[in-house]
Amino acid sequence: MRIVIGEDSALFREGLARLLEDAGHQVVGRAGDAESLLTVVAETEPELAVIDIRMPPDHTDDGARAARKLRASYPRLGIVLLSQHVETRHSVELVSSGGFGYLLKDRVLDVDQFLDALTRVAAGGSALDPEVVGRLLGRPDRLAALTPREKEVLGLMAEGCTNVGIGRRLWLNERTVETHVGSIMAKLGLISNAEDHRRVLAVLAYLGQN
Amino acid sequence: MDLRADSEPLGQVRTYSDVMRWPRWATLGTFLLALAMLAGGGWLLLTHSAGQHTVRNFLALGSVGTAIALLGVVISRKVSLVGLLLAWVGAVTTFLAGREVYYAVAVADPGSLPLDSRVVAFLDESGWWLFIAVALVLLHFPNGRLPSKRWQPVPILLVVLGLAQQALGAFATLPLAMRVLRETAFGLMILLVLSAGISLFVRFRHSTGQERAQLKWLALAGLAAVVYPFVCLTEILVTGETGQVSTAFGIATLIALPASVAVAMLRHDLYDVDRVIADTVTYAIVMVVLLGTYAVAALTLGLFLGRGSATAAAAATAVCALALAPLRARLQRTVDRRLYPPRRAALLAIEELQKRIHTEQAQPEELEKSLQTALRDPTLRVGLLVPGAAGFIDVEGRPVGTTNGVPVMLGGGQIGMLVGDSGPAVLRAVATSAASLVEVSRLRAELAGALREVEASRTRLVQAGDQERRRLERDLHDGAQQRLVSLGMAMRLAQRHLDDGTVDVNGLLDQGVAELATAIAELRQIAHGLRPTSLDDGLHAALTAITQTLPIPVQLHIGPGDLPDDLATTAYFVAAEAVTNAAKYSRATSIAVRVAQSADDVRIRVEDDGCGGATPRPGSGLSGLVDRVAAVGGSLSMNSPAGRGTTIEAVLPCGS
Repeated sequence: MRIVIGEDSALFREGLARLLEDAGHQVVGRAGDAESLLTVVAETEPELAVIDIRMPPDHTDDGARAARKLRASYPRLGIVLLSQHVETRHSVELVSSGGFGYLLKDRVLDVDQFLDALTRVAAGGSALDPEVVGRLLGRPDRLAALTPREKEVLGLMAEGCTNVGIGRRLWLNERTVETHVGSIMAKLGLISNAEDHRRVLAVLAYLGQN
Repeated sequence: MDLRADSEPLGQVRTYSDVMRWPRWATLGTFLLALAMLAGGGWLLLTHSAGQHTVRNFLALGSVGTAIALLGVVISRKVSLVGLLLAWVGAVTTFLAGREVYYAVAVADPGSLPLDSRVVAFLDESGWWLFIAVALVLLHFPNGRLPSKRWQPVPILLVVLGLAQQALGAFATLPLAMRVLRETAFGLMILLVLSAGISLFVRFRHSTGQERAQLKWLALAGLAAVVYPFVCLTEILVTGETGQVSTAFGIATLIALPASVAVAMLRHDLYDVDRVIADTVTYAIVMVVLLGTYAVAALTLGLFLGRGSATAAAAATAVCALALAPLRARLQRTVDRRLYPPRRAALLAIEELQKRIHTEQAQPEELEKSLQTALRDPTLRVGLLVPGAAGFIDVEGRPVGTTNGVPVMLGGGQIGMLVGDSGPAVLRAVATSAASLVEVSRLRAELAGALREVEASRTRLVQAGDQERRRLERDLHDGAQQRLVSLGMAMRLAQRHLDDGTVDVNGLLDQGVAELATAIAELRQIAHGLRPTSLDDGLHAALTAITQTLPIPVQLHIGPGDLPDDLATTAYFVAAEAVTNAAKYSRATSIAVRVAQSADDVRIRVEDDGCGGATPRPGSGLSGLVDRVAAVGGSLSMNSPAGRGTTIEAVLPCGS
């Protein structure tokens, strides 16, 4: 997979590049600020961009703003935003649009899941940090009808996992996962959809609404 | 420091500008002339025999005239022209007294004095100069200038006509044309003398403040002249002829004019002219009514009991006494309403405001507005003396000037200023009555100022705290956290290649430990920023740790004894910030830090010998220090003259 990294901390940028290359990906461009990120993407036409939210010049949400611009110019480009801290509103909104990921930086250390998330986003799927999902599920009123197991499955669905992925994480077979998913969708009144990422969108839209 | 204790009452500004030299000398000369005439008349009386009546008249008129001239000398020190003219009035009066003596002696002891009929004729006409002098005083009162340019011919014409009168009057027989001329000149002169009275009305209508008060004093003298005929009439009614009462009142009337001028020119701000006028009018009316009642009662009773009956007089007196008490009180109220509105209205407004404050319908700060309405004076301002403010300020903190103002005093000290066009006497009366309200406003303004400052300081402290937290968060996220995540990635990498031997795991671990050490160092630095741990070993140790890293030698003089923790922290930050600032900006060659502790306070003093001229900008480290010091109840001062080094001193209270 051809990947561009936008990250101002050289230490982290090089470490991440090394990790990705070690996993067999190709890091085709590196940028230290939002401006040069746009140029690098235009030059290299990658499949995926991994972007730090806080970057020069403003050190606020320059990365997120650059991501929106990239999404407008390259609709098929997968984008994963990395953040130092959890921020619910914007992240859910971005991820709901598909082909988007929002992860805390520390997730890099769960190398396999991190790489899995990158692949999923590059393929048009989603990845939402478990911390964010946890907060979304933290509102008990709407999910009172779900069993603990169903809540676990719902959380993984929100993170962007496929049925196979969910089964692997929870040590369940695919058929059982499908049953749980059907039950959850029925209880929440959502239309069950075969396509994974649309399902994620439906779940996020449901969890994200007030 | 008590600001009130050593401040002078402000606002007694005198505005006379035309103190010329020559009229003052001329006034003195005129006075000496009057003295000479008094001495001459006295000499004539002593050396020649004259009637007792003549002696009495000369003594009364001569001393009054001389006194008026003396008054002229005193007034000429302030408004020279008015003084000169008044001296003239006095001198003419004395001259007339002397003239009578001369005539009397000449009649009583013929041949003892040289006497020429032409001289007598000439002297006979000199009485007019008294009227001309009075008219000139009225024209130039109170500031020595005419009411306007249009009046300029009047004084000149008056003098010319006076001279003409003098010259033509001396001839007993004149051709018809000359007689017509004389009578015309005389008529014109009388008209001009009357016009001088009119000039006062013109002046009054255009006057404000002090000038108006001065003119009112003059009007007081005019009142006596108005009452005079009534007095004469009553005396005639009662006794059948004008006698001693009328004479006494006449002299009083004569003295009233110079006395009024004197008060107006010299002490008009001491007394409330409106009060005096109102009282005078009240008593004058009471007197007229009483005399009338007495006359009617005496006449009526006299018809039955016989003229001159003691019973009739006693009964008439009783009737008057009965009428007096209710009459005076009622009259006073009526006259006050008519003649004395400003002060009365203002005092009523103060009373009303006090009532409304008690019932919580108003605030003491509304005093200015109430007084403006009551006195119909939109320029009226109430200035408060608030510690920390430059000059006088109003309740909203705007500056108040001191021209046309009177001080507001309380307990022997000045607490404020009443400024306006209502005249000093009215303002003075209002200032006395409103002192307690002014004091309340002043204290409240002071308190509000202190609260505002506390609030601003608290906001700045919160903002400084927020800023500090933001900086910490960034330091943690961008520093230690990044480093730890990178370290984690390196460990993962090592883990993945542990078996295949393609990566130098040993080197990777070394690198990882080095990263860890850096992260630990960074965390330590951040923690130190929160509270310098070196403070545990005392202020001296903590400050030494800083000063050692600076390129400039720093002398530390730190007194013995442990400071309480919060004071030590504040002292540390004050010294650290001041020293760092000096090292950064002052181009100093040496810095001295002194920390001295007494029973009541801790003083931290940082001096350098650098370029000076430092100013604490908002948001700078120094202004942050001000708040930090204020938070423990202390104060921070800075002295930084350009080119002569900077001294920063913080005083932190530590008393129990």
